[in-house]
Amino acid sequence: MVVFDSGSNGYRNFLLPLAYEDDLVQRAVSVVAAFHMAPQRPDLLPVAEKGLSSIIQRLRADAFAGESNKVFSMSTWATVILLLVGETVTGSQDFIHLYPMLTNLLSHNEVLAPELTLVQRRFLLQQSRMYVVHFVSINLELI
Amino acid sequence: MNHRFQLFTPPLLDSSQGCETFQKDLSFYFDFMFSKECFGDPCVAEEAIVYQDAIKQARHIYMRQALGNYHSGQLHEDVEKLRLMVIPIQSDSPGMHTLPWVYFIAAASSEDQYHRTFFTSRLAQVYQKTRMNSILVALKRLEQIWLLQPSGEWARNPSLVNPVLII
Repeated sequence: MVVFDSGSNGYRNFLLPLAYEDDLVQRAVSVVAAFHMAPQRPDLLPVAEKGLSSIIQRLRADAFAGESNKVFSMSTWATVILLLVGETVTGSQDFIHLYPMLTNLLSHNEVLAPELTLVQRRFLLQQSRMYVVHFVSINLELI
Repeated sequence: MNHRFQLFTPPLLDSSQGCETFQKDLSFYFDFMFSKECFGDPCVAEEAIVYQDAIKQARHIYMRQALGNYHSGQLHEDVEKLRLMVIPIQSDSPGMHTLPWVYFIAAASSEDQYHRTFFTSRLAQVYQKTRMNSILVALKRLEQIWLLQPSGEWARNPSLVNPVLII
């Protein structure tokens, strides 16, 4: 998440446009939005949960298919970041499964999402580091 | 190079690397979160300075607690300093959602009831604004922390309570 919603807000000027083109990112945005709206629209909760489960299945299938360019892609990275935002919305503990995905993506920086521009990479890297710093400080013994 | 499966394997970090991450990464964090434009924008410059200082102070408290570096009275002094830093931040301040992690660390590390109440009420204030349920989970964790680690020693063993993603 960003501090100020300025012109450099990567969620607004990078991830939302990406959601128009990328099915996985689009689903992640919809799931997080549905979770956020669920207190006012309880009918959206099962839809969001089903959507989340389907995204995780898709990530898992991609990983097991063995195509590294599909796994270590802009789409996967952006999706994991968006799902972590979703975890702060729901307060669920599923982030302990998402967090290893994030650190494994980061540990393959040399092959991770070569298609990103410098600014986009910097945004995703900063958001990732932010999650690592916050996660590590409070849940140190889990890792 | 074949990277399959690795997305779902355990993270490569261990706890010592975790500490290192926490100690080193703040400059990277600040560079992006608080771009130079922030400090030139009169609408947010004051807040940006407070957020940076508060995050640094929370990290300082956390590290001193984790390393057992506090002597009598110093913890109270450090937490009070943090409380004074965040006083100017109100529920309508731009970027006020930035501080839950700071408030959580301050509340968890404090042994003073006044400080605990102050920082939990700040967390509740952010919840009113953002409706992020992770804040409600964090408030429950704080109750457990104060019960199990009443002298603010939480940072020495954060795993005594269930995990929480508080950002």
